[in-house]
Amino acid sequence: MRMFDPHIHMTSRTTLDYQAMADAGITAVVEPSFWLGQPRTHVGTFEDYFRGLLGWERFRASQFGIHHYCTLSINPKEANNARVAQGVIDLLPRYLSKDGVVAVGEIGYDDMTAEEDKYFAAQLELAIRFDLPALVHTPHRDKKRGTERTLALVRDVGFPEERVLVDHNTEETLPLVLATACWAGHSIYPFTKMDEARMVALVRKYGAARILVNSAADWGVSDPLKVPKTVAAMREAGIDEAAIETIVWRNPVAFFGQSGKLDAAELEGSTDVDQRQLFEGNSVLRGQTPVVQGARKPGE
Amino acid sequence: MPRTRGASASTPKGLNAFDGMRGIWDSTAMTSTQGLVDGLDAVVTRRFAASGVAWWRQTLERLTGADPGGLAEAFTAASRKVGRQPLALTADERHALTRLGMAEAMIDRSTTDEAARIALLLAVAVGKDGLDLERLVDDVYQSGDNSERQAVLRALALLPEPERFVTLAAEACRSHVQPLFEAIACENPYPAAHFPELNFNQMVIKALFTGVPLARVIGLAARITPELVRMANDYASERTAAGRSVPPDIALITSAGGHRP
Repeated sequence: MRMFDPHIHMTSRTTLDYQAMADAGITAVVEPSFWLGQPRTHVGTFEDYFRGLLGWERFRASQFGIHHYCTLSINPKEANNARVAQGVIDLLPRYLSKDGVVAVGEIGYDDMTAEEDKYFAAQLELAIRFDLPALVHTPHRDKKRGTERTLALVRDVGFPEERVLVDHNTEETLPLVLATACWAGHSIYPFTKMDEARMVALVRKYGAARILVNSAADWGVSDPLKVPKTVAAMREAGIDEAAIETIVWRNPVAFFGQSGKLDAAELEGSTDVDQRQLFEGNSVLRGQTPVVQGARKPGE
Repeated sequence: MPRTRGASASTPKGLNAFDGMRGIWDSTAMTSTQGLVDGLDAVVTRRFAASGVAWWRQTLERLTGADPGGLAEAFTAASRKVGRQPLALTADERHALTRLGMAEAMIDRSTTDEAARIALLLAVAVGKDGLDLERLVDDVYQSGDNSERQAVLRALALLPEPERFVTLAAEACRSHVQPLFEAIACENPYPAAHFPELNFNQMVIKALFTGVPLARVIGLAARITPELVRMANDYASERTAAGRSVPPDIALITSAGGHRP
């Protein structure tokens, strides 16, 4: 089965992860821009980060047969950082229209401060201006209140709910999100957020419509194979194949397809791998024989 | 906005380390800062290898003089010069430092390099008109490694006009580096004394979330509000819905009624 991980921070992962993901059937990922574990102190580091997501990281993914898309934003935590927040907002218009940018995100709340309100709303406005959907993070602390406030802000701004993916849901927030037209993401984590068994229970209760799962794997304790592992858990629990495919393929394709930058036909065609390629003179290889699958060899 | 509670020049000294300290700052801030520099200087000097004492004397002299330049460099070098071992204070030293306003819980966990770094920051802060201390502290923090940053956070409550460091302290609470989070959230009187309600509540919930015993949060009882009680109850509900355990010390919050902020 083809799988889509709609939230994973690949810049924090290794090529072994890419290989394992490809072997497990993941052929597409969305990498939201987020924070790096500690605050940045210069706007320029965001710009290079955005360029890296659009350049080197896309290329790296392609070397393992994985389509890489990204979402760009000032993340909720760093929205509180007056050194950089407005500067990043000023930078975004230059990058949001690029190929491969399929949403504005992650945006939303962390501490639920006035600054977070301001930049959350400003970035929903940017999403409207660039005709993009929005990927919205919900806070780790005070999550239910944070989700309610997220949905209220989406309504207040007048942003179309069907273009919002509210992420990191739990038992308590999912019904709130499904009561709107927003989509609901679930981050399957080894210890926090959501796990496979709980996810199975949620799918049994609420079905597959507008439900997505992701690994949210990053530099912390996390697992880039959580989407295939959740598929296995759903299968074992007797959830039918069509519902599983809806959750791990059709829903992310449909949601991010609203950007107009994700071509379903291209995604479902074969993924060529040609590790002989270079990006700005660099290769992901370190002396290995390049893998070439499906790609046209020279002279063909 | 920074919050200052119960602080006035008439606050009686010595009720406990924390209140006493605030009273001292509000009345005779400079003298007390100098007192602390001297107290820490004595403690640190006794723990130096002979070869380090000359460096320490020279550095302190330069920084207490007109020129705060070189603070960042000395701040970094301190751990190599003085070592990173637990302070292991004698009863007299402990008594002297707490009388000067340092929180007992904090100095009991402190190390020689941390004490030296706090002394360096305080030495720079003493009696220099027109010094942009905020910028200096921010620079040392931002360019610091994790242990340098922890020392800055430990010093905040002791610096003159501490409320100006709320932004920096709140930023530290957002860190994923757990020792950094604990340097501000635990055994540190700063948050209870200066954080606005929102930041204080977020810090406490993060302490619960990351498994930090709430007993380590200085001044928690006096900052429990109905909103914090609600947040703690919601956290317990979220954990229960997820089939997870609820930390028992959450009762320190939920069984309190909550004072009006």
